[in-house]
Amino acid sequence: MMILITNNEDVVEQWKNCRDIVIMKRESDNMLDVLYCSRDLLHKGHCLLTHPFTGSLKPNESPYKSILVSETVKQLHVDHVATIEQCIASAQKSLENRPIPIYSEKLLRDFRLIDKDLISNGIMRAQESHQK
Amino acid sequence: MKLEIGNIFIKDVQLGQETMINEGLLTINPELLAAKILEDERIKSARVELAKPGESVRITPVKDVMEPRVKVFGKGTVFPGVAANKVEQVGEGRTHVLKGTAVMTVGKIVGFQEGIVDMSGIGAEYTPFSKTLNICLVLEPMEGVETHAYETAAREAGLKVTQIIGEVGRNMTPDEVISYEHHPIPHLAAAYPHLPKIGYVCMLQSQGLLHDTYVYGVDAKKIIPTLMSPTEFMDGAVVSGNCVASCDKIPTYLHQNDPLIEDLYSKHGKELNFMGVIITNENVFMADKERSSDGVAKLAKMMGLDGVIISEEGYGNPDTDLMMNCRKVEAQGIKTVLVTDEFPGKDGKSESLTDAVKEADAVVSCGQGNLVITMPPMERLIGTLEDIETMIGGYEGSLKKDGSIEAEIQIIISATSAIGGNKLAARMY
Repeated sequence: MMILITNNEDVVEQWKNCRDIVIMKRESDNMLDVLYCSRDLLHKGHCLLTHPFTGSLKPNESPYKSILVSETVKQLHVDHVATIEQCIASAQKSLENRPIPIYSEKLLRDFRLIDKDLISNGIMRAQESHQK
Repeated sequence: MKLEIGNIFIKDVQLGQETMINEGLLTINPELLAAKILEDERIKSARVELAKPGESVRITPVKDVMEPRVKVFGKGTVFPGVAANKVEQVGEGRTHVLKGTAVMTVGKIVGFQEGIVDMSGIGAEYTPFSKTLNICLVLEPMEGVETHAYETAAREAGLKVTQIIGEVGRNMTPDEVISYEHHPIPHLAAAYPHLPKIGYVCMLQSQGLLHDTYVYGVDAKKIIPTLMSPTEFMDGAVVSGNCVASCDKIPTYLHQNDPLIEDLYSKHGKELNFMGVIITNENVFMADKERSSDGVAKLAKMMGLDGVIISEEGYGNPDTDLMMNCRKVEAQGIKTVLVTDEFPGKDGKSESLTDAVKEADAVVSCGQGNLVITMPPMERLIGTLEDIETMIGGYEGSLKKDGSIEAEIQIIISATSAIGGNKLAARMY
């Protein structure tokens, strides 16, 4: 099993019937909320399965974020915690400098599509690799 | 492997009836090229426009840039394995190049991931493609075509047209011929025993839609690190399928003309022994990152390298690959130099990369993408300004009433390209 933390409804729609995924839907238009939620899980010993900064989009550009972590809890993975903490620090600073603009629905659709495509690639790789 | 690059210097380009080169003047038939593009039913319209250095022209949204080339002898075609080309090993024989020209695909795919090329003014200073004679293919998708399908169609259209134009150089006598050789590893190692053995790790963007690269037609997400001859790049074995942020995109043109490969060749046998290129990917799945960086370190060790240059493409996710590659290669006792760009925020005070390891103590910066500039209005527009304010680097108020654009330089194609090819660098005083 894997846990998918996302604030992207298109990701939920695509993966909601997948048996090996538990979805934690975040009702937020801010990617920081998804990062915080994932960070909390990593501190509890879940493993990061996909990189928090998929897409090379800066944190103040896309409102959407999806992150996959393991469902199983192991020993704290220090590198993964460090990775997400660095991403959070970077996201906080970006959003402080310039908040996410108010986008048209058409553009939000594009952002959701890219986020969905990138996380789906990660999910499929995780499924192929049986590294859950 | 020996590849001769025959450069045919193109001094000007014009539209006409016949596709030909006459004393450095390239003539292309726009109707013929557009008709070829429109054979793909995913594309609704195609228009060919020219943009030349120094003109008051703005091109946007630009997706990819390619250089017209043709294989004159030796196996295969340029861009093997893509756009219906046969998969055949390239990198040997002779390839003619229409030097000074570039083909650009222009038109929206998603509303935030393509960039700007200005042919004059301050914006032109930041992109290498203000210095090329640009043949712009302005494309529009057929209604209802799904984004992935259209991205493929636009990419293939660019490659096909670039090949058609490159074909004109087949029977020409080049103005110069440059020879590049890549010998078997044991021969290389024995040839210059006193020089450090240096490899180049080329990280390819490979995250998903508009974040992909193709190697002999294979999606780079699915490769494990492998060894390539530098000459394979010159024949188009690596093709861009992405527009991450415009500034740090490595367009196909820069893979064909990789500045790191050029520089390593120029120092080969003098200051260093250039042993070859390791390609690897930048997947989003953490286990892939571990697998690929393990593979890079293993290959570097197996090649007996003393030092490695590692480039990256993109920001965020790839920073982790860059650092994993650095740490694991250094752990083999091999020195690394990293080549990257930076995003430290508008005040320049934030962390430039989202990941770092202590072994990363030699880093070359290709500039910072958050720098804000104002690009003056241009007399002619190729494409549309519709999405300027939502492109990466743009923001509300970027497009001024007089047509000027205030934006971060990440909106400009290849402004901070992390294999070089741009003009920016960081120096310590």
